[in-house]
Amino acid sequence: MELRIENLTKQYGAFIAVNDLSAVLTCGVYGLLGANGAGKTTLMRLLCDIQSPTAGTVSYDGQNIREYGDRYRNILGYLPQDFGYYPDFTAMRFLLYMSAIKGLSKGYAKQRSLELLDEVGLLSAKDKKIKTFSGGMKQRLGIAQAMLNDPKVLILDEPTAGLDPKERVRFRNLISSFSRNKIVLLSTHIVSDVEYIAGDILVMKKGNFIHEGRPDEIIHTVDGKVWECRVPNGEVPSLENKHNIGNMRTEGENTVLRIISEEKPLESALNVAPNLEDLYLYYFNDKESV
Amino acid sequence: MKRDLELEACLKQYTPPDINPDIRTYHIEQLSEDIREMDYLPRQSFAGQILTHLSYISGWIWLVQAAMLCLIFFYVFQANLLLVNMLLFCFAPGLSLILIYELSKSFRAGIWEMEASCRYNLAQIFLFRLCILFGGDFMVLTGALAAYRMIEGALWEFCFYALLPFFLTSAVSLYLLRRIGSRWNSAVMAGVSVMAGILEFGIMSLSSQWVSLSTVSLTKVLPLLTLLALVPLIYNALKLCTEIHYLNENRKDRNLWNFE
Repeated sequence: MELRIENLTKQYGAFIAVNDLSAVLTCGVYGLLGANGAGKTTLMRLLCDIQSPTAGTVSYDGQNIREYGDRYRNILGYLPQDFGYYPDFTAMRFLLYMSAIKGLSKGYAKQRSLELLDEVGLLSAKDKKIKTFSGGMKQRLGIAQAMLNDPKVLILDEPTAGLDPKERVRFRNLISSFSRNKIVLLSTHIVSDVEYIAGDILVMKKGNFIHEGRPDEIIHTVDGKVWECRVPNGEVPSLENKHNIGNMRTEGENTVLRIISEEKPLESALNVAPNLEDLYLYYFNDKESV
Repeated sequence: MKRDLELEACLKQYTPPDINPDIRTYHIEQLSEDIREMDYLPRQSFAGQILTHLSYISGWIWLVQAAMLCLIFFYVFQANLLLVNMLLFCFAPGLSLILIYELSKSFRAGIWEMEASCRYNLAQIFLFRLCILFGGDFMVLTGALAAYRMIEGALWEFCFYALLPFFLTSAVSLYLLRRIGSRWNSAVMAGVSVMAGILEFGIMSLSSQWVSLSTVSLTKVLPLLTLLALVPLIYNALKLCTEIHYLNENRKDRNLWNFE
């Protein structure tokens, strides 16, 4: 089972959202990391055949997904970034509706909907209207609908947006339990999400993959670029203007800064081991565009 | 209802037993096992799909259509041709706007992306909805025609007051839905309604003069014009049901049509 992306390009007029991307995704969880506007959503839409590419192809097991048509969509689960619901639907009715358009048999749809509602912790709210749901509940319902057809390819665009930390942990565990024998592509700009569950990470910037590999491999690309130093509180504003600050912690008169920089920012700065958040800040700092 | 209340009162006397986690897990595993063995992706006939989608069409649409028909019959029985003509002239574009409103609910609710990634994608969902909604409209218009004939209204008049506005408004609305796709919302709907209203008012005020000027030619031309108006309607309906990608992909257009 493989999803092959070959020279995939998506252009809107002069703006290139996805630029000549190539990758091969096999079973496992892939984290797609990138700032807002990096092209993650466009890539995901292309992988779901919701948008047509300007150039290049996406193929599943050697067959172009556009030719595969409904057979590809049969094995696809997708949770978009911004999505809504028919507000008057109850959770159960919504899942039954999604099952119907996924072409699932009625008996299966009912059982599977109940099973998934239980898994996402919404079984007790199955007869409540979705308009009464909190953001987290809606998100969990979205995840449930993506899993209805037991997809082989699961694409989740910013699935943890709007979830509180407890719900995020719950969601991560859900994805991990769902991900056996599946290709899961998870886009996010919340670093900890991918850090915990993704076996591989694709870092996307300005429509390109700038890095791909296991989290520990990717983190090594910023080795020697993360520094920690203790400075008086008064010096913090000037350092903030000069450097990319990852973290700051005030300790009385002093502040401990975590700085991401190619060169040693201060004489007293010590080189420290980077983490995925440092990597993110290194590639997507505020001073640069996406 | 009374039996339900009695049953509920009876059940309240007993405390529910504790759920044994092992038994619960066993049943969940058993359920998962059953699910895995099911043929869960059967091929469904077109009629079967239509029936499935019928249950997800908003109920108020049938009520509005029935109310329209009842009102037309009410004035037909009062033999008031002028009022029937006016009603038809108002209801016909209304029918098509109801159709478009229901058709475009995927965009309004923001669910279209999820639908587009399903086995029956957005184009097919539009096809099912169009078949159901046009079916309903067809029945209303057939009923209205039958009523119209009861008070000896001419066919060309029915074409002028009912069919032509219905076909034209539907064609324009479907075209707009196709062109602005994912950014379709109530603002566009309201805009189309206002434009249709103004246009209709203008035509209505001129119609009496046209009729008195050239009744003979209108009787022949209007049914032909009505048939011609079917062409853009069918074209736009077919395009809507065959296009797969509904995102307006030209970024320049986003500024022009950004109502969100």
